[in-house]
Amino acid sequence: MSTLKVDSFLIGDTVPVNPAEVVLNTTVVSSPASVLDFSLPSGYAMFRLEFFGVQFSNNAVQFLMRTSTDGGSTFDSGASDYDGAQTAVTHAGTASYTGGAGTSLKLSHASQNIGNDGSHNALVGEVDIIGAGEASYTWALMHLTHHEPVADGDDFVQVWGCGVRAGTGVVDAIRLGASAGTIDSGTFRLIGFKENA
Amino acid sequence: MSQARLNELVTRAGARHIFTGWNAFSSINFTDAAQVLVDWRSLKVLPNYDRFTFKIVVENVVFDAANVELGVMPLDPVGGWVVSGPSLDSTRRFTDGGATPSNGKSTSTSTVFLPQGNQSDAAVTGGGLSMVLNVVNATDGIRETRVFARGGFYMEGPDGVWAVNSGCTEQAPTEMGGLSFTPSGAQVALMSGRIHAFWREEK
Repeated sequence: MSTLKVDSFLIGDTVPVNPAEVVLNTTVVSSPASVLDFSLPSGYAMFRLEFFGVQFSNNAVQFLMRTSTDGGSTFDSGASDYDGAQTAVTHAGTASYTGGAGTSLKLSHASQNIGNDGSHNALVGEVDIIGAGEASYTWALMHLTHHEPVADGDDFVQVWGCGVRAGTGVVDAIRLGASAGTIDSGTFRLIGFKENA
Repeated sequence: MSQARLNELVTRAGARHIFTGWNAFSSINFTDAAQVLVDWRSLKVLPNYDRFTFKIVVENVVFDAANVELGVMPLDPVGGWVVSGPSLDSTRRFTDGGATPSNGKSTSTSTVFLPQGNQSDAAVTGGGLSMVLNVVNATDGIRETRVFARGGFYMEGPDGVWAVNSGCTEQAPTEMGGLSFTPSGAQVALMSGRIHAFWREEK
């Protein structure tokens, strides 16, 4: 039996010590960006990427992520480099499920696309990245909300699911982008949860 | 709500931290383990706070057999396992192939986040189970403890990656001292994986 004792850092009597939650990067997009890159430093058990107010230049896009093992010089883009499963539920109560391998890790649903109606806060959500420091796997668990294109009824959509990187190698950077066009606005915050020292 | 009551609440909220951040942690790597415990019984609530909330990151757990579910059982605060009392499990899973999702639901003493019929298989390259558990009201002994899960896993064969979402469990009002992770099958081990535990205090 293996036991994890959760008392290793219990000292002090006011503010708990040894903060595990570190804001590593806050990026505010104020001009169109084709991609957004974030470094994933070593020493963290999990990364959480939070984003809100994200608007895209194109209508009906998907929100995508790729991984790098060379510090962001190149990003994996092979046909089977990623796999995943996503579900979406609309405010009308329609649920749909999709997934499969691809050249990017899909953070949003393949058919419940994201609209770029400027009157809406198009995309809000979070992605937990687990195992980036492990050579054999990296998982992404996502939960986000957005509006569909107006042509689709302007539904409010909730998406959640998971994705995994199929390749090997320690992931040290990620790239965010849209399936078409640019990311025109939004705030992105990368938070690291420290590995046990 | 009266203005006086509102003022009181605002004053109290402003005077005290309602939450600390996620700011303490432990991690464990395990191999060939029949059981992995996350034991927080030694934690003491700091002054001005009432209870702990835990975030448990389960990282790529691999079993040594197919068709295995990961069972999670609460640990009694004074020792021993909670073997009686209600535990409600409601889980939803779906595959990357877009197949009809399944809902798992059970009432037992062992909470299984991968619902009935789900499988996680070591035979798949890179396969394993990863998920994040949020454990709420674990230590106040007053409110029901609830565990929310979000994760994904590989399944052998064409089904590939599955997602597990919205899994939750509810434990009757009691103080939990930790969690036990065990495979669902007899003579099955957790061959490899890591678990990280984060906690914060709440009021």
